Amino acid sequence: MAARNTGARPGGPNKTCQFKLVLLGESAVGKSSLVLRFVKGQFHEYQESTIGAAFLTQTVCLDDATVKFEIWDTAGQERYHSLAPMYYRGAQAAIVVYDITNQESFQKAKNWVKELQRQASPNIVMALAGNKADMANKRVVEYEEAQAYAEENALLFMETSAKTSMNVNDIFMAIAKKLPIGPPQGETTGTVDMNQPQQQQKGSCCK
Amino acid sequence: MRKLENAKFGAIVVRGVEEGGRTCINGLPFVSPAIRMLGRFQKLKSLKHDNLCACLDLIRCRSASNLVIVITEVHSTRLCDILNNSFSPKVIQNFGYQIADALYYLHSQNILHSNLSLSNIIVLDDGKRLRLSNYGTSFVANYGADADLSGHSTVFAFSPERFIQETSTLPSQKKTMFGPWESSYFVEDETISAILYDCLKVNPRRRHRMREMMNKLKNSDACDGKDSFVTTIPEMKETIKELHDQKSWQFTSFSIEDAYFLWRLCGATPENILLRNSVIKLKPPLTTLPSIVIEDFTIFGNEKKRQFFVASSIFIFADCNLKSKLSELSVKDLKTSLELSKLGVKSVEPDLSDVHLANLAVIVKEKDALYQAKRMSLLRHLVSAKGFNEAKDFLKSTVRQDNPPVYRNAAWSVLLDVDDSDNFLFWSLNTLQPHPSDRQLDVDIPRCHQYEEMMTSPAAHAALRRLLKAWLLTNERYVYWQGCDSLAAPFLLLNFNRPETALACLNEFIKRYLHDFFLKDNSAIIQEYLTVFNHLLAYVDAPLYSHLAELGFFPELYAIPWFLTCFAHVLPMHKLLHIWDQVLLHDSSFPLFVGLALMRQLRPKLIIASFNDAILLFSDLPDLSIEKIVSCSHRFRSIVPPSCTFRVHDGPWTEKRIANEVEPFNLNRTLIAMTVAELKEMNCPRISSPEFIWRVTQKQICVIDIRLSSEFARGCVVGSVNYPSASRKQLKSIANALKTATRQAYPICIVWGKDHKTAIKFGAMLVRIGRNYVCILDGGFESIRDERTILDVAH
Repeated sequence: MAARNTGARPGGPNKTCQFKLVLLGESAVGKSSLVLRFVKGQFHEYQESTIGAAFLTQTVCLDDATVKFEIWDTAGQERYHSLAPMYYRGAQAAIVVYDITNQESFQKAKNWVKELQRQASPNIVMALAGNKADMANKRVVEYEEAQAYAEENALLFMETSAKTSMNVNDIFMAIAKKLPIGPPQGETTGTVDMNQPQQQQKGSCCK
Repeated sequence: MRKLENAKFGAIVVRGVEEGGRTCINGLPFVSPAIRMLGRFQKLKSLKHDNLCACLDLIRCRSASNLVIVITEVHSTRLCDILNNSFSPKVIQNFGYQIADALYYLHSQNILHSNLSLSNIIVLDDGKRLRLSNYGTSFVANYGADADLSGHSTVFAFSPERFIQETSTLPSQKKTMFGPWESSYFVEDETISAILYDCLKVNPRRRHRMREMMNKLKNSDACDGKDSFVTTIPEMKETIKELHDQKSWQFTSFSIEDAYFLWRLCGATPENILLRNSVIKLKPPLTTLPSIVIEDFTIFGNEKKRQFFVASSIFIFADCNLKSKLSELSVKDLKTSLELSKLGVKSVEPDLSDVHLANLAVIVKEKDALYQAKRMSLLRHLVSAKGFNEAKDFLKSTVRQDNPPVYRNAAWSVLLDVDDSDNFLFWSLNTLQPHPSDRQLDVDIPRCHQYEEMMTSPAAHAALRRLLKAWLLTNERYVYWQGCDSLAAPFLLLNFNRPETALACLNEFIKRYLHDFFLKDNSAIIQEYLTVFNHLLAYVDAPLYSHLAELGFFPELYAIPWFLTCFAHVLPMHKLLHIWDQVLLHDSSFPLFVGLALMRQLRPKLIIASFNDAILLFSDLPDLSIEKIVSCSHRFRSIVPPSCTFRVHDGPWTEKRIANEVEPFNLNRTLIAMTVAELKEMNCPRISSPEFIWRVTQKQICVIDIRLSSEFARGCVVGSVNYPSASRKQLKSIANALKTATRQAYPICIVWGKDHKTAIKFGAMLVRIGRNYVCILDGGFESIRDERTILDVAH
């Protein structure tokens, strides 16, 4: 993938970049919960369903740059599918989420990956998140199976738990590290203005 | 309706088996027994029987999460108090019949009494009538599965098989009817010992059922059961006279449910009263700490200290506060004459305090006992007279100012024209059969309006699922969209024990306000809706519209959940109810104005926001003042020309609805159909020619004619201004006309000849420079060419 530039990045330290990230996946797999955990450090057992899409931002600090994620959290129900392109168009990163206790949601995740490979910008950074890892006793999707699929399709892969916060920050950080830090690449939309001055988000996870 | 009469309110405290906080195997928190009891209690509320004390409310304690307080009707005399009196066999048999009747009714509702004892049988003041009390506790506690019932059940009234079952660890079987055993030991008279004997047989098959027992008690010569309660007209007159001579007739004339609502408004919460009277005893928190806390706050150790001591008897609340408050009311306050109102005679002199109150915030009014007492009396009267059109109209005008919470369900049914014949539908549907939407319902219902206590109970989840499935089954064109759950929830909460009414209301609401929104492919409908909304935004707030358009921030990004669920997914329940109170009084365009009012509330932030700030604002809506939103929605409705809200995909209901309105709301709103793409090219709404003509005759419009001056000279609209050079930016020649229109909030209407494109461009330009109230005449000059009355034609 074009975005895999682990070598020296253009631009000096403390450079700030904005990236549009979209979350996709079957309903009730925990997309909104992952975002809520990442952005606000909260978890609601009964996170209400998302209609259309929700939007949140969060800033993370890497060694040599600050990455601001503009996160589009989409509705999971199949019927809202027609809206999805509006949100993933121009996205530089995507997290496709499935629920490790639900086989169907894994199949659905594969469909999303296919659709992104076809329709989204070609250098999009994609990650696969097997959420609800805290419920491993009810697991039906094996870690190895998902990992093999992720490798085949060059996806980042982690099992996460929005509830215990396991791997939540990590998956966003991993994406941040794979994103091309530097002048804007690929297509951008009106929603992403790379040159806009930044204000630091409260509660950003600078490590 | 049962009048309060001399009843008081009493409390029974029940202790749930555990505090909750555990996690189930599916990862979701364990539903606490208190919540499960709350859900089950709703059924008790719906019980209506002459020989049962009303169950009024179940309140979860804030200070101790596993305690619940059951509020029930109580009377001062219990059967055990008068046991020393001697009774004739006839009276005893009569008592027996009443008890059997009540038990039969309970059993028909799948409820077992479990706590039948002399102290739980109430004797009313006339000494003839009995009522059972404290009969629902076991049912609410799922016969011991959810709560500690020691002190709430009378084991020696259990039948043998039940005794075995409930004292073993087996879950109780509600379906088995042990009934007659329960009442058998009360009827201790020789004349009916035979009946008794039949009731006490060990083999349940040989034992009398309640029905048989009732028949025997009724048929035996000494007793005529309930018939002894028939009163003659002179007796009735006497009762009425007595009632009105009573000191607190205002109080006693309310139904028991209404009186309870008012009582709640007049003093401390039941929980605080019980704490103060040591019915619930709290221990210092320090002494109740557990020894170990693991994972998701499961706690171990020191359990004994965390248990509450709870008295099992009924605690009777004082009602002097309410009585003294209501004594201020006069007959005029509580009685309304439809006949006099119709004749224009005010049956009630407008009270100054009323006028003052009527202008207060709805939330304040809802907490004012006197105001609510008057409103409730009026509403009860109107709702029970709903069959008459006049009463219906009167009701509509009454709830315009506010809707008393107790009568909201009834008022909504009237407003939605739901009548009893609509109620059969629900029961004809098989709502338990599998449905393609099952999996989606499974994941959506447990997270729908969960901040609302009632909605977290398993009973509510089951009821919502049935309601949604019934809705899907009755509307084959529609499919389940996420958000339908939020939409159905208010109707469920208002009609918890009447799913048939909830369904009828939901059906009608969708038919009126969300026509075709839930089609499998609803994009045309939604897109049109959002575009019309965007045009209206340009109409009422051009600067904001232009700012958002510049950001590329369109309603598609934020307003879909608003309109798809008529705000049910974005506003908390208590606010939503107030918005819908208003929506139900208007046609299908009203939600658009609510949307505009929301934008107006957010305007100070939006107008300076960047794209990200703007969308963040909508993702996390701040606490909004519903009062402001309601008044703002009304204001927008009054300034926006009704035809500007026209949608091709609107349902047929609106057209019928507006016929009864006054001008301009009753004018034909139909506009020439345009595709969404065509609509999106425009930046302002269109006005229909009938409304245009009306506004010209009323001089409530500023007409800007962009045709060539030669055409203008040949014939033009009275009072219109010609501005042929529509592309020119200099607007000096029409500046005054625009200013006047803006000041009066009149539409600035662009009249065009053949070139629609130029009209659109000119409209866009006016909006861009921040001109509000801009619209375009639908069909242009051609559509009004023959309307001689509004035209100046050159001779």
